[in-house]
Amino acid sequence: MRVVGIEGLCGGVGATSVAAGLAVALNEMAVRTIALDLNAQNHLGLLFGMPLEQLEGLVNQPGPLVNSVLETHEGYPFMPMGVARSVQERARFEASFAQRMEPILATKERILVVDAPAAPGPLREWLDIHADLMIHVIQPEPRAVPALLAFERDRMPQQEASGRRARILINGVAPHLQLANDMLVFLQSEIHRDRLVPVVIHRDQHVAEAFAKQQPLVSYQYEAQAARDYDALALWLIGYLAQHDHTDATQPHGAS
Amino acid sequence: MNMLHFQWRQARQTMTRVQATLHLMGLYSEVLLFRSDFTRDRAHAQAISASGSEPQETSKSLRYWFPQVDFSRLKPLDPLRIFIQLMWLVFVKSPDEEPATNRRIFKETSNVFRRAHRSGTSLVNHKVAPFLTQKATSVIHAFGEVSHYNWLNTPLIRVGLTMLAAFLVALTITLPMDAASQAVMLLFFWGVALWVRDVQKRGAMLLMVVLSVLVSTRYLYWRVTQTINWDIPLDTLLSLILLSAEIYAWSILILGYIQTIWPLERKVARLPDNPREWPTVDIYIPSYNEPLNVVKPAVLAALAMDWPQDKLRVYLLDDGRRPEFALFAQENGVNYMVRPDNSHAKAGNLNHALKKTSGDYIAIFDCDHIPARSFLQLTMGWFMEEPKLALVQTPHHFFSPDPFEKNLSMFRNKPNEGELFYGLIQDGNDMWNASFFCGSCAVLKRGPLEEVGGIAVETVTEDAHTALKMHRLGYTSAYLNIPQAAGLATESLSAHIGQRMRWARGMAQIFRLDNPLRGKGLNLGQRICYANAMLYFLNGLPRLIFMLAPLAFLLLHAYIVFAPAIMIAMYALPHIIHAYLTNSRTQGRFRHSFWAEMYETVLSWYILKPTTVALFFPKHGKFNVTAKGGITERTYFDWDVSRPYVILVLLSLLGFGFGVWRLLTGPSDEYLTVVLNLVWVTYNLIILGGAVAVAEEAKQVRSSHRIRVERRISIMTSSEHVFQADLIDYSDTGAGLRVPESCPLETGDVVRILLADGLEQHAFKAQIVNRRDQSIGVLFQFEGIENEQAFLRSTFSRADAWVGWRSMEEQERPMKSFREVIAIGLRGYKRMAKQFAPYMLPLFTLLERLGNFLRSLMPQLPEYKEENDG
Repeated sequence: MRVVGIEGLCGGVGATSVAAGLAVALNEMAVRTIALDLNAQNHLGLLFGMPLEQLEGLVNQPGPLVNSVLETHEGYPFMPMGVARSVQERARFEASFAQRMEPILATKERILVVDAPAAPGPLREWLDIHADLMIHVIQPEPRAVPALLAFERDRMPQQEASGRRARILINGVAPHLQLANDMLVFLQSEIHRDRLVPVVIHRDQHVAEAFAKQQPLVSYQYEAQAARDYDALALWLIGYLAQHDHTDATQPHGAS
Repeated sequence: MNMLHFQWRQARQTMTRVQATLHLMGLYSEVLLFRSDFTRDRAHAQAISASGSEPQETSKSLRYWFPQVDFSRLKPLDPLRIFIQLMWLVFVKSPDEEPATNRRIFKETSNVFRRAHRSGTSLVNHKVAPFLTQKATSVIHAFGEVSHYNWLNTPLIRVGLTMLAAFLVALTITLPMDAASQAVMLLFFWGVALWVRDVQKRGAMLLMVVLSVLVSTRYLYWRVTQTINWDIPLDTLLSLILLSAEIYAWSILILGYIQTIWPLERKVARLPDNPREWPTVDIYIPSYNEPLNVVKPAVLAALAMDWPQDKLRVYLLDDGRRPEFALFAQENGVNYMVRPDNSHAKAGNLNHALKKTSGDYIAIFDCDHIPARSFLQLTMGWFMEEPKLALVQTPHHFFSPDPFEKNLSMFRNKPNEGELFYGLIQDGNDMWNASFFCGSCAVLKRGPLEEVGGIAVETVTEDAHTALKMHRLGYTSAYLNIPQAAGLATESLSAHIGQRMRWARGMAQIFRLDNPLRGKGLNLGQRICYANAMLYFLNGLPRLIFMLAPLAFLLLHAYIVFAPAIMIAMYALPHIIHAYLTNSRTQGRFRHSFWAEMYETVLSWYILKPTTVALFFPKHGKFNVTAKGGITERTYFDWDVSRPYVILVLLSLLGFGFGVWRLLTGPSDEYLTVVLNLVWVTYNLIILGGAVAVAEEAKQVRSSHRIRVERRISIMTSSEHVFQADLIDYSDTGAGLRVPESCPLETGDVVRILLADGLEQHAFKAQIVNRRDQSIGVLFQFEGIENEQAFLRSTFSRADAWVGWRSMEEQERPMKSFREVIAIGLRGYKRMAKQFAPYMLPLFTLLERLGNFLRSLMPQLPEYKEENDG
C-alpha cells in the first residue's frame, strides 16, 4: 500500500475535496485506491455520499479496521473517521491505530489517500512516518503567505530531517480574479518548482454543488474542469509513485 | 453440397439470383485464396460489427479485399473490377505485405536471413548463419551511410579519387552511343535511382544527385554538339534560343543541387545563464500603410517578449505618420519614430532608426509578423557563440493561406510556395555560410550593419543585398529553421505577383550592381548560393521558351532539335525523369513535383519584364508595398492576371490541332517527332490549366484569420462553473470552441475563456455569438491592453505556436503529384469553358466521370471501410 497524505496548509483550502477527488480519479484510472479520513471533522465521507446522520466510523470500530471500509454507488471505497462518543474512545483509537492499520498497509498494489488530521497528535505522527508523499494544499489568497512561512518554519525542517517527501498543490485557481491571479504568480515564484505539484486545481462552482448534492464530483458533473484537474493530479501521482521507491510499483489494473 | 444449397438459400433471401451467385463466388474464392488470413479477418469483421447477420459479415470481409465494390448494390462492370483486383492481389501484391513500407527491400532481405536461421538446427544455423545475418543486415542498413569513411579523407586519396572521378565523368558524358546502348545505360541508371530512392541515408541521396547530374550533363553535351541545325537560318535561330533556355535550366539544376546537398539543420545555441550578461536589443517594426489592427498584435507581442525589460526597446517606425499610431505607441510605452521624408522606403526607414538608436542588436519584424515570446531567447545564443556572426534569420511563417493555398484549397495539407525556400534552401545556404537576410523575423548585429552603411538602398530587395555586403566583409550568418514569428500571407494573386515582381527585379538588380560571382570576400559556396538565388528569378524567359518550343515544330515545322525522334527520347526523357526523381527525393517534403512548375509558370510572364529591365537598367524602378489583411467578399475570376496564360493556352491548342493534322496527313517518318511534340504540348497545357485555375479568387470573408488548433482549455460561465473545453480555432478577435453537451451556454452569454501560458493562468472575457450542438463561437471583450497582451502570449506568440504546423511525414510521390496537378489543370479548363464556351461544360462533366470511372477500375489496397449503406 502506498500512502499519500493530503493536508491543508491552513484551514478551508479544500484539502478534503482534493483527497476525495484524487481518490475517485485514481479509481477511475483503475488504480485501486481507498480514501481514508483521519480528520476529526469527519467530512470526507460526506463527499462520497455518506448520510449526514451517520456518525459511525473508524473511531468507533472495535474490530478490524477493514470493517469500516464503505463503498459508494459507483464502488469507490472510503473509510470515514466517525465521531468519537467520548474522549476515552478517541484516545483508545489513537493508541491502537498504528497497530490496527498494519494488515491494511500490507495489501499490495493499492493506494491509500489520507485526509490528514488538522492537529498534531499520534495520527499525524503515523501519517508522517508512513506517507510516501505528503501533498500540502494551498489557495492563492493572502492567507497563503503566513501559512507558507509557518510551514517553512515548522513542518518542512521536520520532513526534511525524516526524509519524507512533500509537495505543495495550489487549489482554487481563479484566473479571472485579479488578486487570486497575482497570488498565484507570487506563489509560483516563491515556492521552488521542485516542491510544487505541476498541476493546479481550478476554482469551480461544481465542487461546492457536488458537496451539496453529496456526490463525488465526477458523478455530479463529469465535464467539470475541477474533475479534469483531479485526473491530471492522479496521473501525475501515478508517475511520481512509479518513479520514487520501487518497492511496491503501482500499476493500473488490467494494463498487462 | 448440402451446405452450398443452404448458403444459396440464405443468400437468396436478401439478394437477386445474379447477386447471390456473385456473392457466393466471391466468398469461396476468398476462402481459397486467402485461407490463412480468412479466420483473422472474419474475427476482425465480427469485431467491428458486433450485431449483424451472417451474410452481412461475409460481405464486410469481402469489402476488405474489394474496397471499390459495393456488394449490396452491384453495378454492371463490377465483375471486371473484381477480376482486376483479384489478379492484382494474386500476382502483384503479396498478402502479408504491410502497405507503405519504405524499406521493403531491407525488410524482405533480412526476413529471408531470419527465416533461414529459424528453420534449421545445425551448427551452421546456430552460429554461422546469425553471424552472416548480422553482417549482411548491418551492411545493408549501413548502405549510404557516409560518416564511416573518414579514414579515406587524406589529401592524396582525395586528389586521386577526384581525378579518377573526373575522368569517369568526362567519359560518361561524352561517350557517343547508339540508341540501344544509350537505352541500356540509362535504364540501368534509372533502376539504381529507383532502388535507392527510399533509402533514408545521405549517401543514397548523393548517389541520386550524381546520377541526375551525369544524365543531364550527358544530355546537354549531346544537345550542344549534335543537335543544332546550322543549315536553315530560322531553325538555327530557334534551336539556339531553345538551347540557351536549356543551358539555363541545367545550370539552375546543378546550382540547386550544390545549394541544398547538405542542409545544416542548425540547433539553438545556449545563452549565458545570467540574464545580466545578455545584450541589449532594439526591435524595429516598420509600417507604411497597414491598418492599426494589423500592426497592433505585432507591437504588443514584441513588447511581451521574454527578455530583460531594461534591455529591450521596441520602435514603431511609421512612414505613414498617422496620429492614431502615435497615440497607440504612447499609450503602450513604444518608441514612435517618424522621419522627414520617405526616401528609400523600408530600407530608408530602418536606416533612419539605426542612426537614432543604440541597442547592440536589432531585431526586425514586418508590421504584420507577430513574434513568439521566445524569439530572442532562441536566436540570440548564436551571437554569443560566434563573434563574427552578423545575422540570424528565422523562417517567415504565414498563418493565413497564400493565394495558391486559398484558391486551390490546399492550406496546410500541401507544402506552400515559400516552404522550399525556408525549409530547405536557407538551411542549405547555411551550410555554405550563405543564408541571407529576408527582411523580417531576423536579428542583425549593429556593428557589422553600420560597417556596410546600414540597410542597402541601391536595390529594391534591400535584405538580400545587405547580407551580401556583410558576407563580403567576412561576417557570417546563421539560419534557424524554427518558426518564431507568424504573419499574413499576400491576400490575392495579383498582390502575390506584385511582391514576386519586386523580388525578381531586386535580385536582378543585385546581379548587375554587385554581382556575387565577382568581387572580393566571398567563398565559392557563397558565390554559388547567391548566384543561384538571383539566377532563379530570371526563369521567366526560359519558361516561356519551353512553353512555346513545341509550337515551333507543330506550327512552323522547324526542327529545333535536329536529331531523330528516337534519340531525342533516349536523351531527353532520362534527363527529365532523373531530375524529377532526384528533386522529389531532395525537396519532396518541402515542395511537391509539378506543383513547382505551376507556381513558377504563373509568375514567369510577370517577372519577365522587371528582370529584363533591371538587367539592362539596374537603377530604374521603385519599392512597392505588399497589401495584406484584406477580405475577398465573393469568389471571382481575375482575368487580367490570367490573360497571358489564356493566350498561351490558345496557341498550344492550335499547336495541338496542327499536330493531329500532321499525324493524319504528314509523312510516316515524322510520326514519332509529332508524337513527342504532342506529349510536350499536352504537358504544357496541363500546367497552363493549373496556372489559369489559380486565378479564381476564392472568397475570404473574415478580416482576421482563424488559426486552427486542437488544445484543451477551460471555459467559465458567469455562475463560475468551469468546464473543460477544446479550443478549435482562434484569431485576434474571436475563437471557436468545442464544449460539453451539458454545458448550459447560449448565444449572448458572457463567459470567460481560461488559457494557460506556461505556469501562468489567464482569463479572457468573451461573448458567445453562436452555438450549434457542441461548438460555440465567441468574440473576445478584452479588458485593457495587458489582457490583450496576455491573450497574444498564450496564443499567437506561444513558443510552440507554429511547431508542427503541417505534417512533414508524407513521402512525396511524383506520380501522385502529377495526378493532382492534372486535376487542377482540368479545373482551369472547366473555368475557361464556363467563361468563354458554356456549351462545352457537359464535356468536362463527362471527362470527370470518365476519370472517376477509370480510377474505380484500378486495383486498390485492401482496407476496412465504415459501413455507409443500409
